[in-house]
Amino acid sequence: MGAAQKLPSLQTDPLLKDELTESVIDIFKSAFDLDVRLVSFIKCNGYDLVGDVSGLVGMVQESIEGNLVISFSLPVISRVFSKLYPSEFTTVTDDVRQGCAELANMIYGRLKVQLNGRGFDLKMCLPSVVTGPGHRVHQNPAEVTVLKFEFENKYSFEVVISCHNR
Amino acid sequence: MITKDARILLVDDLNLIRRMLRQCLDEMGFKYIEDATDGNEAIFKLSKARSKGVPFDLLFLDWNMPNKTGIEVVEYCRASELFKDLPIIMVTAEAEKKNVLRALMNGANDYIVKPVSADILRAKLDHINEQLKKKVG
Repeated sequence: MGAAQKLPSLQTDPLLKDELTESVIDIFKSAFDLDVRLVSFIKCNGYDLVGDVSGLVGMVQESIEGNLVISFSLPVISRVFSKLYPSEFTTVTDDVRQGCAELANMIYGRLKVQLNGRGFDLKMCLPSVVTGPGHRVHQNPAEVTVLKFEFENKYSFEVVISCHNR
Repeated sequence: MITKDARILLVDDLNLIRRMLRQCLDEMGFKYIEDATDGNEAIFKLSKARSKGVPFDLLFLDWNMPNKTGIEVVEYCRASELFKDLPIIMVTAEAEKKNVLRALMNGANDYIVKPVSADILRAKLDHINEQLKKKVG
């Protein structure tokens, strides 16, 4: 995309919430056979995600920088991975760390196709992970989209997209 | 033809993805499945199996891996007399058309976007078998 062409604004994109929701639901269903549902959605300036393990992936294009973060407590990620691993995780192992980063990567990969189909021109980024009991991923006052999901009526996790102009 | 007796090599640096693929292939009835965690190990295992007279029939290959990327493994295979006809399916989170095209242009037979499901795998294996039939016919 040429520099002169104005890229659309991710912050005000009306489809972002629905496309992110769809992406999360699809990935959890096809990867883990879990039916997750959206239970809350907010837009705010700045947010602290709290978890034991968080997967992050950068969302970068010509005029914005941002990220997608998904955070889990250990019992929740352990339940998510239970279809693929026979025993429960009682600590954050390499498999949990790598799996959580890959989960963020898969959700972003699916979402990026939708967004780039509408001209966002987001680049490919490698995922990373943050661990530590009860850690916080702080989104300094960028515009933040926060989606909270639930499954099996007792497990919940949050997915956040934040971005700011470069 | 890729039958239930096919020898399959899964190559991904992430245990989660290898488990995901293995579970789908198990459900589909495949019995001979091995893992490799990067491109170098994949090439080593391909060569070793070949020299033992029990070559792999199908390769599932991640795109982004340490040491040697999936595309580099595809290029290696296509340049090798031994592996130039080996069916290869790329498996990656990168779902964009330009990346699909890049994988196919480099010689991959097909492409799966993570996560993997048994339905998608079945369709992809049917596609590979169609390709193999055409080659033989």
